[in-house]
Amino acid sequence: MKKEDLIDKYLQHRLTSEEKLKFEELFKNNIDFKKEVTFHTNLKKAVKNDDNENFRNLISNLELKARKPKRSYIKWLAAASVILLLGLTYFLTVEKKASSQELFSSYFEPYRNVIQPLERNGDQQNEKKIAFMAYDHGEYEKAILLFSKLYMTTKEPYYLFYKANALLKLERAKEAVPLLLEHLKTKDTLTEKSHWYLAMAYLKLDDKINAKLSLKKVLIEGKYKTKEAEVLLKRFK
Amino acid sequence: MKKEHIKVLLNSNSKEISNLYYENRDAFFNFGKKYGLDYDDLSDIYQEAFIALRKHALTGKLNSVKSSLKTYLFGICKFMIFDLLKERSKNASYDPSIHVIHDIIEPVFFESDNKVLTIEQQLLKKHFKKLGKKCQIVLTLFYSRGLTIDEIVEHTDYTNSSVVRSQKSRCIKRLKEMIKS
Repeated sequence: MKKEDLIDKYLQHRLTSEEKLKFEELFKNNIDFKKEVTFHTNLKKAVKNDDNENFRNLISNLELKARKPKRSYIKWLAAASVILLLGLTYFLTVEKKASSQELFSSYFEPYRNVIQPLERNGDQQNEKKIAFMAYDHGEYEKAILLFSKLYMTTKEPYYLFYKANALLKLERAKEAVPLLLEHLKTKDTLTEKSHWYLAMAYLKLDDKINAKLSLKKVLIEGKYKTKEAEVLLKRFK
Repeated sequence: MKKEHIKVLLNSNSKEISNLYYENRDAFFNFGKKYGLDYDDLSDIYQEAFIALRKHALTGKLNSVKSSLKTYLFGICKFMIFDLLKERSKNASYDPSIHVIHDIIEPVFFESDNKVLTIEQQLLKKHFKKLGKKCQIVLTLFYSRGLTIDEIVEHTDYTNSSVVRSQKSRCIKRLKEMIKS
């Protein structure tokens, strides 16, 4: 049997007892063989990790889809918030003109973590987990540092989105804008939300022209925060 | 457990997985509510349990399981629910009577294996992602799903095992070159 086949069988736990002996002997005495086995064992772990990650993303997307229509109270919540916002709008226009800052504070809320759900079991921590945990716990400075690092290594677009959200929360809108613009160039499940957060960033920076443009895009996309965008746009008129 | 369910988990085709995922989701939320957990907790648990279920399919554990997919999946969920309740019991507001719920679901032990990749493995993963789709598929089927070369032929459009074998060798060679450069 070729060495390559022996390694293949080893990786899939299919060695017969005779082959096992041959494998062990080679592993002990042949450096090249040992190197090759180590390479394939590492490759197996890397590929498995990638496969699991893809599956996790698939499941997380399925869950995200299921959550929207199933939670009927969201509709009520949306309706209630529109009424509240309309009331607020009336109050603000009659009593005083709301500043961009005030609007930002009443509309902005960091997007919840849908990437790294709470995991039980096991103490092993990885950076992604720590980053999202920091985000969930409101430790935004720490989350920003970790998201930057993780984005550098993985290039996963969602890190841009969450880093921008953390920056917005810390009122560092100027730094959030380029990240959101970059995120808009990518296509993941969060991209549809980026226009809204970009609008929030411009609002914070008192850049009403760009805020309006982004809000209009929110309406065109028609998926996320459309009611709020509609009300906000009216506020600008 | 039905063979076709195991097959769906092993293939991980998004359409089939989607059907299987939604098939038991509502029932799980009804089941899980009894434990006093909120929607977000249950949503997290269902996702994690489904991921664990697939891991059990990949390791071959499901082949000897007698119960249905639903019972087994709920068993993993139950284990995770107990785990969460135990964790929360460390906090003062926990009510232990919540644990006493009668149903026929046996908890299924699940060991988390979120091992962090070594630097070499991370590098391999990074370059693996840069390989062409064909390479990624063959290597995933072989290394992650544990399919033999012959099973890969059955699973894909490749005409025979020697084509698969040479495709796999080419992909590995390419990966080694990428790492060297």
